[in-house]
Amino acid sequence: MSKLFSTAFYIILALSLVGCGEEKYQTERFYNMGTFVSLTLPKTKKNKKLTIDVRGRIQELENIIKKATDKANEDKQFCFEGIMNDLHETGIKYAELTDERFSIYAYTIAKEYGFHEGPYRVPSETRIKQLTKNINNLYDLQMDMGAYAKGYIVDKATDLLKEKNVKSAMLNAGGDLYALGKKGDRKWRVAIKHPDFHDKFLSIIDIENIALATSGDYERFFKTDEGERIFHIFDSTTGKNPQYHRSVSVIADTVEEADGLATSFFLMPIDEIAKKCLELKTPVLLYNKDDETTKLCGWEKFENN
Amino acid sequence: MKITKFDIIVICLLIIIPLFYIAHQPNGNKKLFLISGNEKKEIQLKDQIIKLNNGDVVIEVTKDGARFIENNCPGNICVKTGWAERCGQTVACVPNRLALVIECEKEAFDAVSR
Amino acid sequence: MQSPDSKKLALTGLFAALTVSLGVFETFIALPVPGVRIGLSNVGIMLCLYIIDLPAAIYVAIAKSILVPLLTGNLIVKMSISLPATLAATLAMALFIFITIKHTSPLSAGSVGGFVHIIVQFFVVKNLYIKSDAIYNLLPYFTLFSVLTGAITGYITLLILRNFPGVSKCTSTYKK
Repeated sequence: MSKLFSTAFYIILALSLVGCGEEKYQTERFYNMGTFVSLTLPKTKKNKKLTIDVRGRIQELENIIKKATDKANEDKQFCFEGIMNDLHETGIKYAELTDERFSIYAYTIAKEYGFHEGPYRVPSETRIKQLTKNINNLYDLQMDMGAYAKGYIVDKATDLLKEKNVKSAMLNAGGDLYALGKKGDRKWRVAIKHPDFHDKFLSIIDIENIALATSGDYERFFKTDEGERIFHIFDSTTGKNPQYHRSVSVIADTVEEADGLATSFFLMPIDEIAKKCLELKTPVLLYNKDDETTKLCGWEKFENN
Repeated sequence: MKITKFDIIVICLLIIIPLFYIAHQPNGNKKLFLISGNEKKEIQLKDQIIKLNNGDVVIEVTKDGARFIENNCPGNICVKTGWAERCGQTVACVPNRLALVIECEKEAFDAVSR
Repeated sequence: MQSPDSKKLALTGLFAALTVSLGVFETFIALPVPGVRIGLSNVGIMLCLYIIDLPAAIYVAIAKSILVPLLTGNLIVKMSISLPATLAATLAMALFIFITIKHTSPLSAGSVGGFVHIIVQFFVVKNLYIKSDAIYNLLPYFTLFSVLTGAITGYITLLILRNFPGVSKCTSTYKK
């Protein structure tokens, strides 16, 4: 009889091991770049250490960019060097794409509204006109590359994962994310949040080796006394919030591109986006104030049925 | 006739199958549903008493779960079952086609972009 | 099997009576989990399978599924669930015994029966009474329990078989 029990014991042991054979994933969350970053990797010892390295890389780049940005905003003279030079050139690219509506100096206006540091307030019309003129003349400016710097950092962190031969990972910095490889035998499944409902989604897509970023008017905003919603993206030619969209998501090869384009497209009407996304080959998802969802340049192809 | 190794293997297999499912119950946002025949209705998890079938069936709901406190079905199995509180827990009363179910949303996505 | 028809008939009747009375009896046994029974009546059906033959087992299964609800109340609901589940379990056990008779004892046959019985029960409940997939949430727990009680009834059957007169001849039914 005892022999039978030991047989039973070994069988159960063996079967439970088989049951656990599927690849398990683990998600680590940390706070960086002003948002929660989550890194999902197959659960192994090696990857645990790797998470620390990735966080280190993100922290390092964040510090460099933040220091340089602060210095640029305090000093009268500033030269773009190294990483900052790369980022600056990327900024010029997006400025050209949007006919100067996008500008790294739009922060001059955003800061006046109280963004990032507060308190929130609405500047006078004359002040806004003055500031847009300043941006146009590159005079007395405040700079912020946040629109795509986060994407840049995520790309660098993803490069680190690739260097370490990671075949499957998801790095998500507050919605700006890169899906490396597949998750097990299926693609990574990502939902695009609905601006108004936390449990509703505009679209659900399956992606692999590609980046996704979303810009919306619902993440950082305040309401004026008149009930108007003021959010953190400003058109540097008018000094006002663009009103074309409420949410813009872009799929691109790098997170920097997805991130930058999501902000740039936020400043552009639909017909212009439709042309540009064909050129750039970047699928786009738009959601506007009238509750309409628009899918452009092959977004549907990523949606699971 | 003797108990054989093969017996043990078969029984172990049959035990492993349900154990596997039990181990893989999702954890997440709890939602309470009342199923009556073909219908499935969500009930808010808050302190309340729900009466059905002219008061023959009484359901007590709290923020954690729900139970039948009165039921006119024979045997009163569902009243004796007690609370449905954890993910996947179900209290069923087959004769009058009623069931209380706690369902937990699985995380359907690997990430949310916003 | 060498037994004359009359002996077969008498045995079938005996097992049917055993099955039904066990089925009624066990409704009085309170188990910690409400609504669950050990399934003692399965013993009678298994004895039929081992000692007589499949048709006899099916007669007993049908008798049990109709008579036990009739005697314990709540006729239609219980019968509609019990009949398909008991028949499916009987067939599954017959098949299992037929295939593995040389390597297994009633212990595993009983747990196979319990397994099939509970799954068919849930299937019927889902399709006739509570039409929600949510009902399947309960299934794993009940299956676990059912396999164990099935093994218990199988063990009881085994003990009876060991002491049954002339059983060594009778089990030849399922020898290939």
